[in-house]
Amino acid sequence: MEASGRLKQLMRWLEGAMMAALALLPLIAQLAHQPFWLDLATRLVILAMAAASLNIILGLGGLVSFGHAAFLGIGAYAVGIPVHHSIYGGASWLASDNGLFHFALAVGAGALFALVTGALSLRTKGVHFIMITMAFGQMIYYLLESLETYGGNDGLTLDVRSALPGIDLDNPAQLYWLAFVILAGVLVMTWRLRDARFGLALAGARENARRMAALGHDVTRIRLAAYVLAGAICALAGALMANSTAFITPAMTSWPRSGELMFMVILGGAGRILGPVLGAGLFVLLEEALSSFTTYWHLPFGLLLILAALWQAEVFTTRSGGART
Amino acid sequence: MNDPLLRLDDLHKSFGGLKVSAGVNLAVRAGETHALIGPNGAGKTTLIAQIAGELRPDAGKIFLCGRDITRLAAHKRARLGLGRAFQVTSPMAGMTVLDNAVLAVMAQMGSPLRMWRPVRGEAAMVEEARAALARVGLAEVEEEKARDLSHGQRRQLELAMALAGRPRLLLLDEPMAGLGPRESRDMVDLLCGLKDHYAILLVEHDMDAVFALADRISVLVAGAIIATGTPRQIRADAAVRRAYLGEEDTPC
Repeated sequence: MEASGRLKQLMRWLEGAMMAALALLPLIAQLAHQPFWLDLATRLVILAMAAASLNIILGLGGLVSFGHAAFLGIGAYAVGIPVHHSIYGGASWLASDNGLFHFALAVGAGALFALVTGALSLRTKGVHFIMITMAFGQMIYYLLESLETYGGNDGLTLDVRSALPGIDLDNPAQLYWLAFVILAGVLVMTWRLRDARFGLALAGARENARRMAALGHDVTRIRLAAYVLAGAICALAGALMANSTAFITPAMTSWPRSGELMFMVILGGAGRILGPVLGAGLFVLLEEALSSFTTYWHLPFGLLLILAALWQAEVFTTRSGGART
Repeated sequence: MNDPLLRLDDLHKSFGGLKVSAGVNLAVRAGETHALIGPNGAGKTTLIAQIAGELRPDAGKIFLCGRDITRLAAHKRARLGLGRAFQVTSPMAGMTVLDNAVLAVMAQMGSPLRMWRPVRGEAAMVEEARAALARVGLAEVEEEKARDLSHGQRRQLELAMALAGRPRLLLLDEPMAGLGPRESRDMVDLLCGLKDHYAILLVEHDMDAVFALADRISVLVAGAIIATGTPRQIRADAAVRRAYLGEEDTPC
């Protein structure tokens, strides 16, 4: 009890420090003449946004969704495909370099995919839910891989970035600020909804879905709403990721990516509002540090993830236990 | 009183070859406390599950306030006024007592998708939840986690959650189970105070409690109701004595 209290204190302190560092990062990177730091931080912020969206269903809702990276891909291709057509022609109804269109398309497609797959997945429980969400994720992976027009397995290079009024996404600092502000908005929203009716209902469904139904709550509808919201946010993160890397491949939707998002949420403490930032931060730093030691960085990384999962096993089992009933 | 609050019309349910409900007919009238008794394995739990909407009967119909609810989902039945307290107490264990009661009130209020306004700032909802807790005597422990309550307190919380939903019919599944003599007495007193305000379908093994509380009793044996009547009639019923009361050495 004492130890976990101190641990939480430490995590809170780390999160505060990270948010402060992220807010000052463009300045720090400029002063230190390390533009690479900004790339790293942009990746961190976008991954944190994706993890924060997963935190709504996994952390608050206790639903272990193993296909969340699909939404990253949907968002990324919602930028990549219109950009591709705007340059190489074809599909004129879709061709556009307008960023507002890209982002709206990403959010809309993410929400729609979440609505359809969520309505089906949420009919199942526990391990079945994990498997079916993973299957839907892989479905998107193979779908994107089969689209030869958009590079298939080789992926798609964005020749231009999304054009936004007043913001130049070719400027790394401006892209970073956009991502950071959206992340902050997502975190504020998660914080508010956790304490509102929606968050209480989600937590109730996590704790005991059967009891919630007996009280008169439509548990599936509540969970589906969370799933759609999370899908839309994650797709927006995917659209930002496409703009950040200017290169997208189907691999960003494959199941190991979903697993990484899950571990970010668990690493930062499932259900904690700033946890995804901490988790994404640790993930990006570890990935960077380990890959400079060895090209086989996935091995020590995997061991660390297992340790983290065991360390937080209690959190994990209580969460998924609620989803099983 | 011509239209009963709850009416079961020839319910049938089998699991494989095992008939657990073999043509159950039962009516709970408005305002009455109706006890359902029967030996273990008589099919009480299955019957409750069918009334609550967790199990679908193979044949037959269920009416609540004259409306056919046979195919309605559990949460919709709850919104129509079916308040349920579980046999195995199962509140949301990791949440506070007050949050549990708030969830019960919220289920009736609707709009569970509100995402901005903190629940604790919704005075009307929180007050109603507190009132339900006060009625069962849990006002003092509202900020404790449900899992930290004593067994008796959890039973009270079950009841408070059923009450907070403003039910028309309370479905109480063995509210005395696992309670000590003193707690049992308190629970009987509590239910005595409630029976004037609600119609209650009470499933209970504790015969003292049943005869103290019930206006009418139905006896379920092997999936069918073998007798329905006042406590006095049930005590005198030869078939009931043979099938049930005689075996258990209960005070008659």
